[in-house]
Amino acid sequence: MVFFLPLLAAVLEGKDETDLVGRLQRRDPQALAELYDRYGRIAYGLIHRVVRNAAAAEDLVQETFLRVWNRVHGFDPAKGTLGPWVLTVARNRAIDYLRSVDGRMAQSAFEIEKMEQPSVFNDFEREIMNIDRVKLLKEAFQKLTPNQREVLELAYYEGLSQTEMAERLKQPLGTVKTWVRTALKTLREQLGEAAIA
Amino acid sequence: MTHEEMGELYELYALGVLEPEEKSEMEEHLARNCPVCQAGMRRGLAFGALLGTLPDSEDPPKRLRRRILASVGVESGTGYSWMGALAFLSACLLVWVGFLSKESSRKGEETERMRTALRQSTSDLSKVQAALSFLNEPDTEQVVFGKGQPLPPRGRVFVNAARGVMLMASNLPAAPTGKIYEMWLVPKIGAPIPAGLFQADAQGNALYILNQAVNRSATKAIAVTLEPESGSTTPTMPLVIAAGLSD
Ligand SMILES: [Zn+2]
Repeated sequence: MVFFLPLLAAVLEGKDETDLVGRLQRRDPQALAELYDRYGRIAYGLIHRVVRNAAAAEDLVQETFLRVWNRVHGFDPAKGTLGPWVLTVARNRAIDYLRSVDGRMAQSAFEIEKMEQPSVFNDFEREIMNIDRVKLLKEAFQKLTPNQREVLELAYYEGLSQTEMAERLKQPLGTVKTWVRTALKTLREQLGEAAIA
Repeated sequence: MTHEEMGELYELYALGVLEPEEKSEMEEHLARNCPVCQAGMRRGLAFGALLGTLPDSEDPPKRLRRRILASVGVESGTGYSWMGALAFLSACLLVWVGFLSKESSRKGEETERMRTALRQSTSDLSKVQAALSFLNEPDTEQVVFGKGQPLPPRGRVFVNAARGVMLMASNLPAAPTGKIYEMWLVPKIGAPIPAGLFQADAQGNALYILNQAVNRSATKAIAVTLEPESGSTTPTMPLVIAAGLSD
């Protein structure tokens, strides 16, 4: 798990992306090549983990980068960071695919799209995805109980709601909710975030 | 619900997995610019993005990079005698050019026929949905290729300047091991532009969509060749499919 961290560090803490965003916005295809070289491996790893099908993963990585390419004009190069946006688009494209294959919740496609508008990522702190936080998250994730880890994975990798998780795991909804709440609380604390009061 | 009770819902909202009632409540707060909920949602989105770093990175196949770049029209250098290809294209007089009727009733029938054809050309539901949305665009133009030809392949190309190009083909021979089909946008002036890689299924059907705006007026034809698995930057003759577009 740890061996690829230096790589990830290079990606996440690499040079300032303002210039890259500017070139993407000017439709410079070389900038797309750079974007892909930066985030292609992470996006492919993530999407492949969700859909577990190499051919579909390729299609979805392509869709991810084209979506970013086509919407980057809404991105503020002075404020935004590309990494969180690319990963969010990648994950959501993969979930959207899973849902369409399962015939689940077609109506939610629009909802999930709202969460990947570039403007949403304009107010992000640049530090949100720095390597320390990535490390902290990995460590914290290992500290969760198997149940807590499983519910987060079901939400993230399969896009299940808490009710759907309860059905899948054959557990009472209240139990699932407790696992989710505790898991998120633990991660938040480990990441040093104050709870919403 | 108090804000305290909404604690973990921000993360779930950002992941798109809230129950409908919880979601409406959240959106009510967000719609009236509730600062607590806006901060919560930003935190949730950041958390969701961070979770994306949990799976190990993985090397995608090399051809994917080329495919993605091709889909935004990255051209290669040189080395292609493509006057030869144009000559070949001109010889493809079998290409039949037609337009979708602008009348909505006709278009509805056409869409219905396409729907049937589509089901035969792919079993992939998400592709069918993408294809149908493509067909429903008002300005989609259609070209039939291979019509009247006794030999394969046959099919249709749909071009929409804003959306891209969709290719539906049947009777495509299976690509030999190590080879793949590559689509090309053939401009009126300049070298053919790689437009993505695809494979035919076991029945010889293929449905491929290039999701990218195309410069319609500058494009003369859509072509397909057989290329090495990682794709090429210039087409290898002969053309497997050549669909000329109207001027
Ligand atoms: Zn609120």
